[in-house]
Amino acid sequence: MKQVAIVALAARHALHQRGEVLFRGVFYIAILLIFARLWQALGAGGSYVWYIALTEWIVLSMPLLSVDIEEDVRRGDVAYAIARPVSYLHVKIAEGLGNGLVRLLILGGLGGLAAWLLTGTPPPRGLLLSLPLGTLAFSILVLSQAAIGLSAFWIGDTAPLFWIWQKLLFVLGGLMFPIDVYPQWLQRAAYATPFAPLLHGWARLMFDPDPALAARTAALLLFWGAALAVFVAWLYRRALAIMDVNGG
Amino acid sequence: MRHLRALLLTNLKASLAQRGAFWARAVFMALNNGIMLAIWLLFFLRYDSVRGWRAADTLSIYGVCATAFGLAVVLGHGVNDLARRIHEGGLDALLTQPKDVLLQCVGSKSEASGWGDLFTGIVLLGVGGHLTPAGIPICLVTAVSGAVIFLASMVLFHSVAFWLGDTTVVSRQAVHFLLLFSLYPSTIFGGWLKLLLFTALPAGFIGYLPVDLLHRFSWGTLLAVAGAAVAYAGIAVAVFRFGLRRYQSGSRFA
Repeated sequence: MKQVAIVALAARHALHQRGEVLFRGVFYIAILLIFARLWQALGAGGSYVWYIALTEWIVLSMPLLSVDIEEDVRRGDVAYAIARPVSYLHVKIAEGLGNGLVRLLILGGLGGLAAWLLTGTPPPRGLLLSLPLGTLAFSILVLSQAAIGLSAFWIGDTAPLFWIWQKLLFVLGGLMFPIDVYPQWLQRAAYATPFAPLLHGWARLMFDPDPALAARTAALLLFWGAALAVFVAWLYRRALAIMDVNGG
Repeated sequence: MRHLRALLLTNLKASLAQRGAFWARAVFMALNNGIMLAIWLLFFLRYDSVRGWRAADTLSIYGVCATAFGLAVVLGHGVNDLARRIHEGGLDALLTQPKDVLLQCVGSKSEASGWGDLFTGIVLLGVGGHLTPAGIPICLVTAVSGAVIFLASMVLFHSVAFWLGDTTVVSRQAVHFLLLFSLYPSTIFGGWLKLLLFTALPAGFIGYLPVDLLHRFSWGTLLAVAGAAVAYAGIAVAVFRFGLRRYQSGSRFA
């Protein structure tokens, strides 16, 4: 399949961008260091550091697909790209996945080592359950980025939309603090959104490796992922219709 | 000074030319800041304090940093492209003009989202009870000194390009680091990390000392904050000028 070849090509390309991955890694370690100090100051256990190591792992591995698509739309490059025998949207998503998977591997190793050193405790038992679901959540984040990028056809500048989506993910997904730390009303609100399974849902499995909980999280991720895929496909069709009318 | 004012006004007009984009960036940045702050306030609902650092301190540090950063990017967002311009020989056009190269480059762009930061900062300083007749001059000093230190640090991070080539990603990442460390409770840092935050990543002079100044005024702290701004600005200008000697033209006019 062409898309698989594009994923492999993007992954090879990402392997050559050592500087970028290195700085993402340093940023990742700095965040872990800050939070290790914060939880230490509160006398809390190392599990909170392992939690943020997991949530930040996929957030920092995320490629800025929305910026790429916005640039293509702004420069008019998208008009040439759609003439190719493979869907522009599929190419962009495959590139995002290829880039991201390399970062997931490198940052995963780096973050795991840093969290281990900072907490002095090995990764909790549930890690093996968390990782595959985290990778699934990561793919959904890539799809979300594609949706934000496609919005450039209507709004031009996607940065404000990205900021809000990102911060909602941080709060309702429980990036910095597990959702259980929130007041009850906010916990209920967060669990009703797609953001909670995207970060907190699978990350908590590390400490609570309950197969039933894992199955429920996987089902939620698949449901929201499918809904988002349908939405992105619809958005792309609408964007192409706009191009047909207005030109590239 | 007249030239600088004209440069800033032109950039502000350019930024305002696309009204929709301007307002979207400014309003959404303010919302963005509000959500980040909300995360911390939720945290402090659960935990009363972090080694004496309370929710009020977080309000103040967000107020101080947002005002300083907003001011910096509204007035000097051109610095964000400095490393790329150095690497690609993009300073040629500025070198042919009789005005200061660094000043022209820094003041060549204004970022609309900075108005959202400024708005957030002023609101938070107001909510924190700092916008009193006695507090306003201190807020002004912390905002201006913070903006100067932000800009000076950005110039330093980007000037590395004179020696290392295209460092745009790295330089921008370093600015994110500075912002990241400026917003966390200062009480969790100690030892070598604290030393780092008062030297290479001067988050201490942008956030921690100004918050201290707002809560417990002392002339010594005021002098330290203002002195740091002057010192970092001086170092940034000196490093940039030293690097400029190594600058190679992009042959834009060849």
